[in-house]
Amino acid sequence: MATKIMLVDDSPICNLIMQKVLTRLPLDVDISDFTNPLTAFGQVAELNPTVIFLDLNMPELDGWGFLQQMKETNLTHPVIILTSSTSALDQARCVEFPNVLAYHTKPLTKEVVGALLLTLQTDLAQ
Amino acid sequence: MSTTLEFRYRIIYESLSRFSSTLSRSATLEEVKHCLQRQVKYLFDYQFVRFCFYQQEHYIVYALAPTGCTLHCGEADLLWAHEGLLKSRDMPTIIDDERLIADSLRRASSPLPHLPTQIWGWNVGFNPGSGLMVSVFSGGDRTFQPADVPVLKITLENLYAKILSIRLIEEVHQSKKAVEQALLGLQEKSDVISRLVATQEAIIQSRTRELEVKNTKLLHLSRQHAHTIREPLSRILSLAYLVDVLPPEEVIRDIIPVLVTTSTDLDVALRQVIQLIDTEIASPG
Repeated sequence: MATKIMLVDDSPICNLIMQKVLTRLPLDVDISDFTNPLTAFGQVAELNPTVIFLDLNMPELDGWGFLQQMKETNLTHPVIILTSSTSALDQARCVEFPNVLAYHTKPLTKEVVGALLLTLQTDLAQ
Repeated sequence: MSTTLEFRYRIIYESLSRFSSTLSRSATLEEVKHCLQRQVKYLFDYQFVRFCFYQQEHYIVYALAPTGCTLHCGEADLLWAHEGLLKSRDMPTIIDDERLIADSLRRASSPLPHLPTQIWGWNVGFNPGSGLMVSVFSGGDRTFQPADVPVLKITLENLYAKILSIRLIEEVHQSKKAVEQALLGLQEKSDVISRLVATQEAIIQSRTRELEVKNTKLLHLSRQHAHTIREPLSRILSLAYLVDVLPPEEVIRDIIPVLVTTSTDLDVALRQVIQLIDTEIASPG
C-alpha cells in the first residue's frame, strides 16, 4: 500500500524538489502537493495522508497556524516540519504539538534525506 | 552693730539686689550699659570707673562717668596706660602715680570735675584667657573705700557672668545663622543636583527607549532577513544536491530552469534586505 504524502510549502520549487527526492526513495509513495496552506488544510481529512511535510514560513497561514488548526479539529496526522528556519525557538516549539514527528532544516542534503527516510520507515511503521 | 552701720548695710544690700535684678534682665551689651549707668552709683563712690571684659583678643569696655556710660568693643588698643600694668598682675592694686593716672585720663572722652588721686584696680581672671578688669578712679568728694571692695567683687562677678552669657548667646546665634546659611546653600545645591539628575534621567530614558526600539527592529529584521535570504539559498543548495543524484537529462529539463529562477529570487531577496537596512536602521528613532 502506497504511503500517502502531503507536501505543504508556498514555494512550488520546494515542492518540486521534495517530489524528486521522495520518488527516488525505496518507497511506494502517493504525493499531493499544495502551495496554499489554507487549501491544504481543507484537504487533510479527505486525503487522510500518512504524513504531512510542512513548511513554517508561509503567507496567510503559517506552519504553526496549520498545526494549531489541526489540534483544534482533532486531526492527528503525523507531521514532518521541513523549513529553512534554523531558529532554536522554532525547534523548541514543536513540543507543543505531539503529532510532529521530526524537524528538519533545509537545504536537503544526503544526510537530511537519509534522516527523512529513517523517519518514514520507522516512525510511520509503528 | 550700730544703727548707722546697719542702715548702711541695708542700703548696700538693697542696691546690690537692684543691680543684680536689673543686670539679670539685661539681654544685650547696650542694656548692660544702661544698668551700669543707673545702678553702680548706689554701690560705691567713684570719680570714674572702667570695666574691661576680655576674652582672647576681644575687649568690651564700659566707661562709667558721672555724665553717663559709654560702651566700646574692639581689640587691645582700647586699653588705657594703667590697664597694661593691671593686666600683668592678678592682684588688687592701688595706683597713685599721678603721671600714670594723667596718662590714662588723657583718653577720657570728657574731663572729670575733680582730678582722681588713686586708681583702685583689679584684673580678675575668671577663665584661662578671659576675665574682667576694673579701674575705679577715686578722689575728691568721691573716694572709693576699702570697705567697698567686697561689693566691687560681687559686682565684677555678676557683670562677668552676664557679659559672658550675652557673648555666648551671640556666638550661638551667629553659629545658627552660619548653619542656616550653609543649609540654604546646600539646599540650593541639592536642588541644582536634583534638576541635573532629573534631566539626565530623562535623557537616559529617552535614549534607552530609542535603543529598545532599534534593538527590537534589529531583532525583527535579522529574523526576517535570515529567512528571506536563507529560503532561496537553501533551495539552491537542495537543487545542487539533486544535480548530483538525478540523471543529466532530468537535471537539464527540470532542475536548471528552477535553479535560475531561485538564483534570481536570492538576488531579489538580498536587494530587499539591503534596502530595508538602509531605510529602517539608518533612520532616526
